[in-house]
Amino acid sequence: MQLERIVVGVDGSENSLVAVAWAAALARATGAEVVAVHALGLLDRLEPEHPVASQPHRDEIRERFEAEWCAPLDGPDLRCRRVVRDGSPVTALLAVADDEGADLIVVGSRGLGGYPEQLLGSTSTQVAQHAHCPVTIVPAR
Amino acid sequence: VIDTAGPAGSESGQGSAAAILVGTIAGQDGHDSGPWHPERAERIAAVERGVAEASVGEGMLRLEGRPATLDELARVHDRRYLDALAQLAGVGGGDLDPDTRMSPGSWATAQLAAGFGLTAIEALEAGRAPAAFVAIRPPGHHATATRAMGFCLLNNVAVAAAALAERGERVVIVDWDVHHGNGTQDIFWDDPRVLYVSTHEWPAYPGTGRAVETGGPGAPGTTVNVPLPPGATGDVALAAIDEVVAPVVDRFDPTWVLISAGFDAHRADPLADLAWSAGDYADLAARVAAFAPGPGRVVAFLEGGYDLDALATSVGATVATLAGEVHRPEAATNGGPGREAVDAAVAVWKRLEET
Repeated sequence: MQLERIVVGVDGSENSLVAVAWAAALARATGAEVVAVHALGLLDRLEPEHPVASQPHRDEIRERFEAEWCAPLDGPDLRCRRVVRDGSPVTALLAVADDEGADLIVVGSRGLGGYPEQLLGSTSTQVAQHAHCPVTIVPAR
Repeated sequence: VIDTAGPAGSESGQGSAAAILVGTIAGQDGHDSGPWHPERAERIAAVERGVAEASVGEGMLRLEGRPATLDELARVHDRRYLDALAQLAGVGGGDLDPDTRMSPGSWATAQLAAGFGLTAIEALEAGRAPAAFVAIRPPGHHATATRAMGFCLLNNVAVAAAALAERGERVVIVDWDVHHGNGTQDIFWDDPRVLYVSTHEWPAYPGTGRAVETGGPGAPGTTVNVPLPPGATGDVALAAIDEVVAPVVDRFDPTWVLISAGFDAHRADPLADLAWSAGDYADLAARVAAFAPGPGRVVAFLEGGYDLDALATSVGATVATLAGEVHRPEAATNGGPGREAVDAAVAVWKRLEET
């Protein structure tokens, strides 16, 4: 089995950083390329408790995504790309995985928690249900 | 053009004609997405202010809503999804996606919002007015058959369109919200009974709505998208309607016109970058209402619009226009970019017609 391309979901949360670090470690061990994806919703959490409208902050969100939220991907021994896609996290991750021919999708496990997750599925479980490739769900530390 | 010459001011009696029906959802503060959320209860107060300023006055008839039934909702939504939403509200709510939150009162509010269009259709068919505007929240056009997203829980306009289509009507939905109505497009993608038309900013959330998205294999040519660049002004929107949309609508020959009336393409809106004004909404409303085959076949549904003053003036201009009155709190806009986007959409449809 060949692992050529890993798509990882990035939302700036602590759990997402853990997932990115896990994907980076796997990529370094296998030589795979990492494609990091951030979904631009209507609102974004540049600060955890201060959502802002995404559209007027596109550039700032992109900068934070590329520099901070993808920090574990930095370094010379890793091939990676950073992709910002408009849409919901589930739709954006699945679309990029299909477009890129991903061999693996990596997401953090920390869903929204509680009943929404049980009834409607968290981002990670919805991705796992609908993906066309294997999915790894990385727990928070 | 719709006939708005009915006798205004005598609307209280059954069967008498007002100039417009306006429905405002009651108890909607039960849907609370949080103190910081732009989709908030104050939006409906702003709509009320705008309607009052439009001075439609005695020509306006108030419309009372009712909740949509599960069977009515299930025409467009998966029943398991509906059950999950109801259960979630029952246990206090929670986040459905990073943008969309349910509170304990959200389910009842959403059901009432989704039923308002059905009530409006009944009232129009009874000859009460030539057009209706329903001021409802939460909005609906991002909600798919199985998923809440983008502030939307139930797809209000789709519930109304599906009810009409089931009776053999041909329905055009014109969605002038600044965001593409991915949910509505998805629900009717392969349904030849409903023509879905959208103008929207691009690139922007939710990332769908390219001009080449023109309908599924079972319904080719029944989806029309005109994505517009940041800064596009009202003249560009009118060109999109005249040059891209109108020929398709003429061929489709609709029996009903439903409008997904978001007002977040206004230049003051904090969530987007188009540059329309209240005057542009008046012009758009006149163009779109003229797609109807006659009076009593136009319903506009509130979608987005998050700057309260812009929402008020834009709703006022729209409601007045649908009532056959002139009310332009702001001049129309022109001179912005986007001509190329309209030309590109025209080219897509020219190619489609040749194949």
